[in-house]
Amino acid sequence: MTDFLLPTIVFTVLTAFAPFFVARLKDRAGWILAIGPALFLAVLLKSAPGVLSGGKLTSSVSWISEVGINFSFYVDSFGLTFASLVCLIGAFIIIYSGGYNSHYHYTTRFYVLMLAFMASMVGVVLSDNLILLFVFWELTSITSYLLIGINHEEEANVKAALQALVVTAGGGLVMLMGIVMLGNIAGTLELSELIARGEVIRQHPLYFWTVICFFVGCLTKSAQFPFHFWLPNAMAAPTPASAFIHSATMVKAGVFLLFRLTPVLGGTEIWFRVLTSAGAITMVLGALFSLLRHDMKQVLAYTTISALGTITMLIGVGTEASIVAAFVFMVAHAFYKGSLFLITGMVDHGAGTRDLRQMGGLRKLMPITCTVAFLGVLSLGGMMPTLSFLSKELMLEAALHNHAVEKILPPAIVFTGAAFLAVAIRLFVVPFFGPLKHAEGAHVHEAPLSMWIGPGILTALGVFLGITCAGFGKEVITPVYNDILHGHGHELHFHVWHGVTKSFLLSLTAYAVGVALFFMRRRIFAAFEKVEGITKFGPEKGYDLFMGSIYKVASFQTRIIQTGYLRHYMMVTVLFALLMIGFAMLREHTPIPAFEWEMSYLHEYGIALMIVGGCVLAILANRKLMAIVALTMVGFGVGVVYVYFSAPDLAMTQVLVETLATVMFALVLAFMPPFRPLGTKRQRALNLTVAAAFGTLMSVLTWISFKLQASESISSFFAETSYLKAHGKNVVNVILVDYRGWDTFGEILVISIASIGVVTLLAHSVRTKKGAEVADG
Amino acid sequence: MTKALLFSPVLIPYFTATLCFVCHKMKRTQRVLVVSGALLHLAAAIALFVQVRGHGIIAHTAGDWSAPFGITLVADLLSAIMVLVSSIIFSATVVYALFSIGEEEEHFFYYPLMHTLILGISWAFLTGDLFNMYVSFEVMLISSFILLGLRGGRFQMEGSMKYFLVNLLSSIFFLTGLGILYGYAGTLNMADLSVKLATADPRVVTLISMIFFVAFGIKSALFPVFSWLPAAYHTPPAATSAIFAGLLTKVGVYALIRSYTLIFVAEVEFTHQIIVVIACLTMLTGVLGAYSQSDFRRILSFHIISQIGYMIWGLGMFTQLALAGSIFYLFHHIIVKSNLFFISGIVQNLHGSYKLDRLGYLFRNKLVLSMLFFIPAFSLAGFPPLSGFFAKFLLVKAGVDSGAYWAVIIALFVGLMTALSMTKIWGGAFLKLRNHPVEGHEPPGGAKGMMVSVAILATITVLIGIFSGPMFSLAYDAATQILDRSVYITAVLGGGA
Repeated sequence: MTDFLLPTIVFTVLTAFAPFFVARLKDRAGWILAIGPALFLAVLLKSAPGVLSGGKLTSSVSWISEVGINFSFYVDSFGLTFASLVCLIGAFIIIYSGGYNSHYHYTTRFYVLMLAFMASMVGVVLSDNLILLFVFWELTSITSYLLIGINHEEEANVKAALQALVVTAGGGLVMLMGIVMLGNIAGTLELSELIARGEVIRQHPLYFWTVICFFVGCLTKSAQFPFHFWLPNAMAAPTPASAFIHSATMVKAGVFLLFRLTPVLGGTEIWFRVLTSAGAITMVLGALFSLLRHDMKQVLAYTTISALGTITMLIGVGTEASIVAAFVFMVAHAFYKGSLFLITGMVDHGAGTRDLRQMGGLRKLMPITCTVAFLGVLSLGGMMPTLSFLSKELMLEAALHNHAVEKILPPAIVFTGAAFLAVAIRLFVVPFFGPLKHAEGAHVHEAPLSMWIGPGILTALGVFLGITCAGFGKEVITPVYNDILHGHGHELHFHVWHGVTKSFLLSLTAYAVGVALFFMRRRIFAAFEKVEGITKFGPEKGYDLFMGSIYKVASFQTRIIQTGYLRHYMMVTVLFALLMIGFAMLREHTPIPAFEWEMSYLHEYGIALMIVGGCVLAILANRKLMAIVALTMVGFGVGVVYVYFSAPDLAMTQVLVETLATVMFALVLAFMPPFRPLGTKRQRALNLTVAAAFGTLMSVLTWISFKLQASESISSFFAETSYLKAHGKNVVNVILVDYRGWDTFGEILVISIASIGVVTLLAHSVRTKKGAEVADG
Repeated sequence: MTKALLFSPVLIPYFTATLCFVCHKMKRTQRVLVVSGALLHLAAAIALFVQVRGHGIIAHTAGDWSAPFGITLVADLLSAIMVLVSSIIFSATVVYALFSIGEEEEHFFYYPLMHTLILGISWAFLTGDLFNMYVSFEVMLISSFILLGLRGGRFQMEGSMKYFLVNLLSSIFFLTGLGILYGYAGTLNMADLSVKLATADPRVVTLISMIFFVAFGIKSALFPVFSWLPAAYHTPPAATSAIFAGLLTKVGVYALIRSYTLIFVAEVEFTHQIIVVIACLTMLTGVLGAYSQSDFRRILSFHIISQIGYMIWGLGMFTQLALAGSIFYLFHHIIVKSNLFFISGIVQNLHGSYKLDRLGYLFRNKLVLSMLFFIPAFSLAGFPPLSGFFAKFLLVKAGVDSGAYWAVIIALFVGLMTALSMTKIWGGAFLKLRNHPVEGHEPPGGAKGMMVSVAILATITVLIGIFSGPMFSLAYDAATQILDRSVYITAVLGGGA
C-alpha cells in the first residue's frame, strides 16, 4: 500500500496549487492537473497483476478503534478495477475541462472540487472500514452539491444542488444507522471481515432493519425509483461534472456498495424482492423517459437512471450469472456514458445548444466529434461487438435462467434495450445528419484535442474490450467476480459470438423494436404531450410536498412557541415546572407525610395571618402603592418568623432590605405607567389557578423534605467550631466571612457588576436611541 | 501548586477585570491588559488540564476547612475540559472583539464585563458546592445581562429584559431547590450530597431533583423553556453573542450532567427517561425553529437549542459511551457554534445586516470567508470527516446499543434538518446573487482581523475531526470518571468518607 503514498501526495499538492496552474496555464492547466489521477492510475495498474491473481493489499491505522472506526483500506480486484475506472475517466475529464472551461470565472474552484470529488470516490471504493467508506460517501455528496450548484447565478441550479444533497445525504444518514446496526451484529466494521460473517448477519433479528437502512442509502445515492428525480435535475452541473457523476462517481457509489454487500446481506427474500423490483421499475421508467426528452443531457440522464436500475435489478437477482452481467454492464456503461456526456459538451460548445430539435448536419463541421459519437452510440445501443453488447447478452441469459424472474424481466430488458437503441440512433443521426441547424449566432467549430481525446479513447476502449472479451473475462472479470461473491476458483469464459441462442434472438427483437421506436419518435412525442400532465404527480412532487410541509410545520410551531411575549415565556416556564414536579410527585408510592397542625400559640397565627393576608391584599390591590405595601407586609412577616426562631441578624437584614425596597419602589412609582389589569378575566383566572397550583406543590415539597430529613445537617459543625477554630462568636458572620467566604466573594462581585450596569443604564437613558426593529417574535 | 491551579481560572479574570475597570479610559492599556489577561487564563486552563489529565482529580476546600464544611473547588476531567474549551473561546472572542467592538462599548466596561463573565463560567465548572454554583450563576447572569444591554437601543433592551427575567426565574428555582435540598439532606457539598442521598428515599430525591432540572433546564435552553435564548442572542454585537452562544447554555448542560451523574441518581430509570424525552423534543423544536427563520443569527440561535438536545440525550442514555458522546459533543459544539457567530459578525461587517434577504454574493466575492463558513457549518450539520460527525456518530451508536431506535431516528432526522438550515444560510448569504443591500453601508474595516479568530477555530474543528481518536479517549475517560462516583467523592471528602 505504500506505493499509493506518492501519488496521493502528488495529487494533493497539484490540487492545492490548482489556482497557480490556472493562473499561469489558463486552458492548458487541465493537462497538468490530470497528472494526479494519471499517476494514481499508473500505481493501480502496477499493482494490478498481483491483486488480480488473488493478492489483496491492506493497510490500517486506528482512528477511533474503540468504536470500530479505523482508517483502513482494502484493495481487491473489484476495488482496484473500480478505482482504475474512476482515475482513468477522471483524468480524461480533467483534461477535457481545460477546453470546456475557457473564459469560465470559476475555473479554479471547479478543478479543485472535481479533484476532491474524484478522490472521495476513490476513497469509497478502496475503504475497508464502513465508517471510513461513509466518510468518503458523504464527501461525494458534499462535493457534488457544490459542483451542481457551482453556477449559482441560476437559482434553479442552487435548488437542484440542494435537492441532490437532501436526497443523497438524507439517505446517507439512514444508512449510517444501518452501518451502526451492522457493526453491532457482526462485531466489526471492516468489509473484509464482514464478508466472512454473512451467515451470522442474515440470521440476526435485526437483519431486516439493517438491510432496509442500506437500501435507503444505496438507492438514494444510485438514483433509483422513487428517489431518482434528483439526477435529471443534477444536470445543472457543468457538463464535465455531469459526465463524471453519471459515469464513474456518485451514482455508481450506490451500486458499488450493493455489490460489496452481496455476500454480507444478499441472497435473502427481502434483498431479492426490493432490489429486483426497484431496479426493474427504474430501468423501464428511465428508458421510457429517455425516449421523451429533447435536451441531450436530459436524455442521457434518463438512460443513466435506467442503466443503474438494470444493475440494481441484476444485483437483486443475485445469481452468479446476474452478478457477472451487472459488473460487465457497469464497466461498459462507465466507458460510454462519460464519453457521451463529454460529446454533448462538445456539441453544445460547437453548436451552442443541447436541444435535439434545434441541431442537425454538424457532421461536416465537426468530423472528429461525429466519429467519437459514433463509437459512443454503438455502445449505448448495445451493438455488436461492444462490451455493452456482451453485457446485454449476459443479462438476458441470467434472466432467462432464473425461474423467479424469467417471465417478467426478459421483456423488460428487451424494451429497455430497444429504447436505448432508439435513443442512440437519435443522438447520432439528429445532430450530425440532415440539413445544417444550430443555435443562432453560434460559430460552429470542431472541439480541440483536449476535448476529444478523452471520449475518443474511452469509447474506443468500450469497443476494444468487447472484441477482446475472452481475455478480459479471464484476466479481470473472473477475479473481480470471485472477490465480489467471496468465492474461489471459478473461471468465466466469454465470447462475442454465442451462436443463435434464445438471448441472441431477443437481442435482435430489441434492435428491431428500437429502430421502429426511432422512426415513430414524432408520434411518440405527440402522444406524450397529451398525457404529460401526469408526470407532475411523480415522486418529485412528494419531495416538494415534504419540503413545503416541513417549512409550514416549522413556522407554525415556532410562531406558537416563540411568541415574543415575555408573559407567555414566564407562564410556560411555570407550567413546565408544575408538570415536571407534579409528574414526579403524583406517581405511586411517593411518601407524603400526613399534615400535622403544629401551631399552638396565638402569635403564630398572627404571623401567618400577616403573611397570607399580605399576599391576598397584593393580589386584590387596585392601586400601585397598595400592592407595594402589601408585599412589604409579607416581607416583614417573614422577618418576624426569623425573630421567632431566634435569628436576629437575619431578621434585621430582612427588615432592612424590605424597607429599602419599599422606599425605592415608592420613588420610581411616579415614573411608571398607570396601574391597570392586563389581560382578560379568563387569563387572570388561569394565572391564578397556575399560581395556586404551583404554590401548593412547592409547599408540599417543602413539607416532604422537612418531615423526611435524610441526614443530620452540617450546621451543628459550624456552631461547635465557630469560636474554637474560627475565633468568632457570631456563627452567621463566621459562616459568611470564613466557612463560606468564597460565596461572599461572589456576591460582592455580583453587586459590583450590577453597579457597573446601573452606570451604563443611566448613561443610556440620558440619550435613548430609538430602534424600529422588534427583536423577537 | 495544584491549589493555585485550581483557583487561578477564577482569580486571573478577577484581577484582569479589576485592572481593566480601573484603566477603562486608557484605550491602549486596556487592550494590552485584556489580551494578556485572556492568554494568562488560557495558560492556566491548559496547565490545569494537563495536571488533571496526568494526575487525576484535584480538590481543595477554601480556607483550608475540611469538606463538606467549607467550599470545595474540584477539577475532574470534565471540569478541566470545560474550563479549557471555554478559555479557548474566550481568548478567541477577546481577539475578535479588538477588531469589532465599538468605542462606545469599550468605554462602557465591555472588557471588564467579559472577564467577569468568564470568571463566572470557569467558577461554575470548578465548584464542588451547589450553593457556590448558584453564586457563580449569579455572576454570569449579571455580567451577561449588562453585556446584552450595553448598546442600550430598544432592540437590545427588549432582548436583554427577556433574557434576564426568564433567567431570574431559573435562579429562583435554583435557590428554592437549594433550600429544600439543604433542609432534606443537611449539606450542599456535591460529593457529600452524593453520599447522603445514596441512602435516602429515592422518591424524595427524584422529587427534589425536578426543581433543579427546571432551573438547569432553563439555563440550558431545553424544550419548552428555551424562549429567552432566541429572544436575545441576535441582539448584541457579534463578539458578545459568540461567547454567549458557545458557553452560557453549556454551563447549564454541565450542571445537568454533573448533578444527574453525581447527585440525582436515585431513580435513573425514571429521571433519565424523562431527560431522553425532553432531549428529543428539544432537538426537534430547535431545528424546526431554525429552519423557519431568515436571520443569520436567529437561525444559529435556534440551532443552539437543537444541539443542546443532543448533549442531553447522551446524558439521558446514561451509558459510558453515551456520556462520552455528550462530552465530545460539548467541546465540538462550543468551538463550532462560537465560530459561526463570529462569521455572522464578519458578514454583518461587510454587508451591514444579518438578514438573509439583505445578504448575498459572498461565495463569488469572498472565497476564503466562504470556505471558513463551510467548515463549521457542515461540521454542525454532522458531515464527515468534521468534528460534528464523530460527535453525532458516538451518540447514534450509543442509541443503537441501548435499543432506543426512535430517538436515533429523531436524531438523524434532526441532523438532516440541520444541514438544510445551514444550506439556507449558505444559499441566502453566500450563493444568492440578488439582495436588498443596506443603503449606504460602508464596511467599517477590521474584517481581516476578525478572520483570525475564525481561522483558528475552524482549524481546531478540522483537527478535532482528524484526531477524533485521542479526543474520543479523552471524552471516554471523562465519562468513566463521572460515572464512577467514588473517585470524585474520595477526592473531595478523603478516603474515610
